[in-house]
Amino acid sequence: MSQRSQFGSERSPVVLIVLGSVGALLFVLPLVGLFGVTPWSNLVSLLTNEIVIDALVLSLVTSTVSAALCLLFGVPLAWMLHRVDFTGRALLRAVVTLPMVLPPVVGGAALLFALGRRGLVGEPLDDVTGITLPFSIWAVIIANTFVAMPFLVITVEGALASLDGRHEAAASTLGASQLTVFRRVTLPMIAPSIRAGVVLAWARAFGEFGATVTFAGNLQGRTQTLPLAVFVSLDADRDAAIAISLLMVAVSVTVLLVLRGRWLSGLGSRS
Amino acid sequence: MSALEAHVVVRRDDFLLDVELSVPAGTTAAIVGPNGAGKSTTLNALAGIEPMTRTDHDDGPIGRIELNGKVLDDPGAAIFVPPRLRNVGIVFQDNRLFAHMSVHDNVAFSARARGQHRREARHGATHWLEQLDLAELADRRPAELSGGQAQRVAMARALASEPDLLLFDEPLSALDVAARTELRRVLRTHLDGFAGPRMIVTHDPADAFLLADQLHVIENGRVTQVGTPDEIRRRPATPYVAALAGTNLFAGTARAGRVNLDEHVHEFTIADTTLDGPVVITVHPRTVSLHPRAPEGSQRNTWATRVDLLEPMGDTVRVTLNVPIPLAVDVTPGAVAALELAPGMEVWAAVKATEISATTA
Repeated sequence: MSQRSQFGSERSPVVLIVLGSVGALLFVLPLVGLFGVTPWSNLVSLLTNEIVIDALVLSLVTSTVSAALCLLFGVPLAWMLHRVDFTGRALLRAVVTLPMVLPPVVGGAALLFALGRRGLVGEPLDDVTGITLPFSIWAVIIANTFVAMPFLVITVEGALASLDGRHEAAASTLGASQLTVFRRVTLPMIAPSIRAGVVLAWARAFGEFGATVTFAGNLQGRTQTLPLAVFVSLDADRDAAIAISLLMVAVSVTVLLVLRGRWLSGLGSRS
Repeated sequence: MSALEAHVVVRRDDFLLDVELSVPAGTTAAIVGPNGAGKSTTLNALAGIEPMTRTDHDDGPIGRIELNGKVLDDPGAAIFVPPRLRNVGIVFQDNRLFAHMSVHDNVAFSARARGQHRREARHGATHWLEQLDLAELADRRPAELSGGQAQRVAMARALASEPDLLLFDEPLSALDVAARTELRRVLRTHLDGFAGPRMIVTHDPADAFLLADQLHVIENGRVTQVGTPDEIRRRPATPYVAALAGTNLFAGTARAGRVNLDEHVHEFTIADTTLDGPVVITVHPRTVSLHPRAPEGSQRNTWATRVDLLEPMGDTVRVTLNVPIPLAVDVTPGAVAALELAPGMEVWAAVKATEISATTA
């Protein structure tokens, strides 16, 4: 580690380096600990276990579908929160970002009260269509989307706020309707932030535990995602828990690294 | 009745823009004025980007914009045609090209926005790309263009939308001198080729005097003078206009450091000996000195002339000369007293070659 700052010959302030290093340790140490206890010799057999494969597939599928749903609904929601003037906008914005601070278990319980079999929406849904959401793969996806979408919404809303509307005004003088302006000018201009928001949402969904276990339960092959598999294994088979944890770290780091260069770069420049 | 009849009223905090404009088809109106006078706001109101103020004060003026007999904006009658339906093309100072599209797609944007298919729209755009010498740049992104090229694309994009009214908001001011001269030529060609009314906002006297048929001077939200460039030059109504009009502007032909004026029998010596061909030269009133006899000094340009008019203008006195060339000269009241200047008096005028700025026309 070089002790030189970007300003060349002058040395970086030691106090900042020390504090920053302590901060970095918080993230590095647990990883080192995890590597230290990993049963490397039978890692392959631990990870090819049916439970793990089921959980991995479910996690990848649900977090990817959730990220897609975040994109589909989150971008228009961010646009609405930023561009449409309506009463209660500040309140709605607070409610939308609530899942970022709410314990996920509470969020899961709230989802259950609303969409459960006896819930506000769940009961009529069940009566009319026979569809029951809780303890299904859809429950996992809804729980994931619930906790993940705020990340996309605030990222995109920040990008919209940094646009000054000049290009959109130019587009409107060229005969473009508001929807055309949004599609052909606004969206491409905030594309880097949208991509960053999708990556954040995917990552958040991939790691979701509390809301999922509350709203979707813990059924192997149906609602048991990787984080749930880790939790269950911690009691039953500690080595399996460690192996799955390592798998999650590997998948997450791979996704973040691969997407970082291409996509996440939009984060720094936009928000 | 002119093609564009507008009474633009925009109220913003303490600022009131209250400007009446009338621009016949096939003519160019320049809006000139100091920063913050309301020039860009006027254009934005015409384009519909900035809606005019509603009647929240009963006694205040109410605006109205009419283009070719169609009302675009009339807050009094609750009429507001949104920008996309106005058919008003506008070229912005900062070009506002769409960075994620090629030059070709930028120019085709308007046709596509109005429902044409991509191929058709791109085909239609090629005409304007050729008109503005952009065919070779068609596949570039705006980030790969020079300032002058980008502004040409912005012009092509606006023209391709087939507007009924063409607006330019300081189209040259973000460019360097060379690009500005080049684009001014392009601008003039396409202004002349546009059949509807056209308007250009500028604070560069050269643009205003060279491109416009009619000048509208706006100061602090009001029109302070309207007239042809010649009228404005002869009778400036305010100190601002006087300073603007005082910029003595001549077209001529340069060769080896000498400029022969087109409209007067007179020759100026300039510092730049490399210029060759048509040029525009400007002589600032403060750089000209007056003398009772032929001056012996370093000035390369001296000529005998006669004082026509003396007007006090703040802390200077504007002296108008008319032979052999019309020239505004600013001198101090002290100089007027020392030289005993009076209308009809024979004097010598002098200006250094280095004080004359010349650009290719």
